[in-house]
Amino acid sequence: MNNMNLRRPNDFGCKMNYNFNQGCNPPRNPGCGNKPAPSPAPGCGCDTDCGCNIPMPPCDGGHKPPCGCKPPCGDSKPPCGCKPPCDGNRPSCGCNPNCDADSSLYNDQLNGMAIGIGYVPWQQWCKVYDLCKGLNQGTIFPPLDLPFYGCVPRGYCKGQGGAL
Amino acid sequence: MNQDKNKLLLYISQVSFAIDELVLFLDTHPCDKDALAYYQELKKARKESLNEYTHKYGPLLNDNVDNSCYWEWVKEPWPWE
Repeated sequence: MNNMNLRRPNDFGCKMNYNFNQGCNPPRNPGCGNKPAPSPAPGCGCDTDCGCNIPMPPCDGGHKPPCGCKPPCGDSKPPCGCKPPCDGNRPSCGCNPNCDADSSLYNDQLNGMAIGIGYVPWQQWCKVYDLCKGLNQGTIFPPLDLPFYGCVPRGYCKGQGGAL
Repeated sequence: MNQDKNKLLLYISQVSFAIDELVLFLDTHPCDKDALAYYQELKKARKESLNEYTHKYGPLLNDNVDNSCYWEWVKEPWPWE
């Protein structure tokens, strides 16, 4: 339940300090089949072009990347690293016995979903902006408050600004 | 334009926009109890503020005309004046 104050402020103006929760803690509503959005996978230790040129950390306790251990790839290095064979010690990220082209699934957040279909993460109810901020931002839903910058991420767009 | 009138009109815009957003959410989440409850709150707030505006400054919508002797809808000033 929202705790939004719908009473008009005395001067009907916008309050400068917004008491809203920018994160979402959505309750699950199993009766209606709402599904939580999948969490983004942590970095798996690959470089940006998912090459396998950087040496993978050894599989010991002190150097485990967030996704688990990646043993050395050996002579044939597939993209995004390879997984240990499917023996009894199956790592949490799953394993790929062949260490071949399918290894790219290692970093695919939609791994296991049907191919050829587009997916849109499911929106969950969360605490909304107050009325003044909602109209100013163009949405009452903080997760949908995505200002348009017109630039590539971390790019400087033709000298016209954008995130550096 | 009268400051209070302006501010009341702004409030009506804010609450009306929030209802539009909520309607879009409910179209895809018809069972969401939190969204349904908030919709009821907003609906009530909008109705009250529209009634207040109509009472003080005249109808904002052409189905809010209360005066049965005169078609106030054509009366000036218009809301943006």
